[in-house]
Amino acid sequence: MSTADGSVVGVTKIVERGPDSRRWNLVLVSEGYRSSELANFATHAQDFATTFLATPPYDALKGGINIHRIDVSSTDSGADDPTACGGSGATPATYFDAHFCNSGIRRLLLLNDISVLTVVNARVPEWHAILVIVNSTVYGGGGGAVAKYSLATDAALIGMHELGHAAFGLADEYEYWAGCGIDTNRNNHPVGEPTEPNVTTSNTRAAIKWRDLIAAATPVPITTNPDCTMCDPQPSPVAAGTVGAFEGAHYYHCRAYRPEFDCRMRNLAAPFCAVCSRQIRRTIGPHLPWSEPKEVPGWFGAEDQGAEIAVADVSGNGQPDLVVFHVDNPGGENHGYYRIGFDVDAGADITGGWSTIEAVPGWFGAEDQGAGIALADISGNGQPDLVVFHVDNPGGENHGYYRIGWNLDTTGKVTGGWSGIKAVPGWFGAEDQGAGIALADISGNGRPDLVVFHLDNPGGENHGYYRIGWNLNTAGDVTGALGTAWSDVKPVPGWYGSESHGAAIALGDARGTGQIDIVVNHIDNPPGENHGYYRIGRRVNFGGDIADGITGPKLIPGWFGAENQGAGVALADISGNGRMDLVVFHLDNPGGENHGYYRIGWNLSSSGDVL
Amino acid sequence: MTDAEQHDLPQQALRLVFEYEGDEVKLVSQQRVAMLVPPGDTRGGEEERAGFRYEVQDREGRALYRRAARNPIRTDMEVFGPEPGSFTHVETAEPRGVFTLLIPDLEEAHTLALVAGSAEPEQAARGPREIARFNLSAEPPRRESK
Repeated sequence: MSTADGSVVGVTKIVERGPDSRRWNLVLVSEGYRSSELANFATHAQDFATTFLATPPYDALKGGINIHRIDVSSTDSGADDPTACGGSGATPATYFDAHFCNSGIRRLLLLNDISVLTVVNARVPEWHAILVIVNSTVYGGGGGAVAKYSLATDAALIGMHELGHAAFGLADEYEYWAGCGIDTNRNNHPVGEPTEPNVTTSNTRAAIKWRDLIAAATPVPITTNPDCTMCDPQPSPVAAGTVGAFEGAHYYHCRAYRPEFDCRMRNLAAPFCAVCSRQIRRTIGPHLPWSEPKEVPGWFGAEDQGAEIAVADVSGNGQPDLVVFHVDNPGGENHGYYRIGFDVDAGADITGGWSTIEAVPGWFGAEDQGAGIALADISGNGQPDLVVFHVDNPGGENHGYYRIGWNLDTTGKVTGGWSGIKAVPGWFGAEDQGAGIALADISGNGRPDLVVFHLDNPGGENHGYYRIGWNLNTAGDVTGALGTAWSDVKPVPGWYGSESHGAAIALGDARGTGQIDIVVNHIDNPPGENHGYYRIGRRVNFGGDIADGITGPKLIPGWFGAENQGAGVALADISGNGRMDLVVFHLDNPGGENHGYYRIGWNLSSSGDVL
Repeated sequence: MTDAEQHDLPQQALRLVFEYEGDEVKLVSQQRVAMLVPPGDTRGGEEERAGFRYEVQDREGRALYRRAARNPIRTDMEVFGPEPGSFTHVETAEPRGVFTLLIPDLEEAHTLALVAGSAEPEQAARGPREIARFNLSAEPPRRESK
């Protein structure tokens, strides 16, 4: 009845999606299987893995999930099943001492959790969740640090539910403790907001944690319990899947609310509700190499001539916001527009909604060949300022220009007016296929420097170049350093293809070295589907040169469409885990209206890879 | 991709294993692990929550990392049934169990504090309180092998 009653046979990675240090690792452990039965455990583990990865939302996250199987043999088969609970009286000698009939309830299945942790810590130290499969056909399961379930029909659903607690911090959404009609002290939830993301004591839209998922037309709350001495018997008055606030949750009949009428955290057989699904995405998402492309809602016009993305905390609530810019080319004069997606989360979702589309006033020319946007507190008054850049293509030589929108308020509106349009001196070639802008204190003197990038299309192979405007003053003018206002035009070496549909630049500590790196991306336009690439110039020195070489172009996997009219790149720690994430943007031009998409490459490695 | 890139370690973390019995919580093991640490609740906007949180502090007691979580110390056990509405709970006579926490392995880390409230009607009114404090700079305690 202990670890003397068997042995740890070995570990097998049955679902391999990448290095354990990067992925979310689920470990399945056997209990009550004799050596001769471990082949059965392999089958049971594979069956669970298949079901798990086909279950929403895990199905969309499987690229970030490794599953391991630890084979532990026991002297005997099964689990203790005392007669006191109507069991068989079996007392098999098993490694983790699994036993039914805890607290007088046969289906409450427990085992030695600390022994399981000892085994898993030694064999798969990077684990995130542990499930023990107990070799018994008696229905049962249990929670705690280690979830466990038996082989009885539907008992695996206990494992799914318990993962919700142990791995994702989800609360129980049911409205009773011992049972409906049994509880006498579960009328009203105590004051105080629960920690868990899927229950709340708030019943006003603005205060509910999942308010961004509640449709404007949905009443809040959707249901109230007319008799707080009992469970609410009323059926859902809305369609399944409607997110709102249903009274009765977190073990209380009243004053606690759940997001949907039903959910796996309320009913083992139900799918996870939208709020629980989002919590799972937020947890596993950063273990994916890349998020799926996410559409930026709303109008982008039918023809554009440049776009870019930036990340900043515009709202000032500590959560990163996405700022998307595009240059519309309607025929005649071009126009620039930006919008802000508030509070992007670790699931790559915008949870604070999108701002209105804001026009950037003034001249953009009639033909452009690239555009960019960046944010920083240039004026030094504590509010972010918005720098917008475009490459004008008037015929003959191109020219670059920037302007500054002062004092963005927390809703993303420019409240301090716009600067004049400032020319960037020097050569931009006659044909470009992308451009970008970034801000960083490269010279280390406490003032932001302005970095401008363009992708030259001279015929034949394209080439990338950047230059640095040193030391922006509080009026947004380049004041210079070491006797020069602007650096010379510096090449970003390597392949860009011969036809591109956008390019951009970002600056930041991409590799976690404490140094500023340059990240450049471009969208290649070979015949057929387009492809996105980025490269990293390692460490920009005080002179603005790439000091430690540049990586080769790194492919951004997945769809970019066949025609694009702008690209963007930004660096930020979106997931909040201390590693820089890479946000890339493209403007799709499928014919008809354009559409914008972003995706996030999670946790850049010290070599600049998304692993 | 080179071998070094494949094995690029994202972050050093500490996995802490605790055992609890009654009101006593013991830190029984610390293990360094190369894995991503969940983000801390340092971004603001977090309401004062009624549940559990853990906080890594430096020698001066300044918070280096703080995270809210579902209370891992259970005074009850959840019991499952295959039918909807068939969950139930049983109180445990003496709370006893094990839980783990994952925290960043920070050079300045000195102390870990555990703070817990309760959803139980009688205890909730008392609000969150510190339930245990551990010295992280000490050698991990030895645990007898089984």
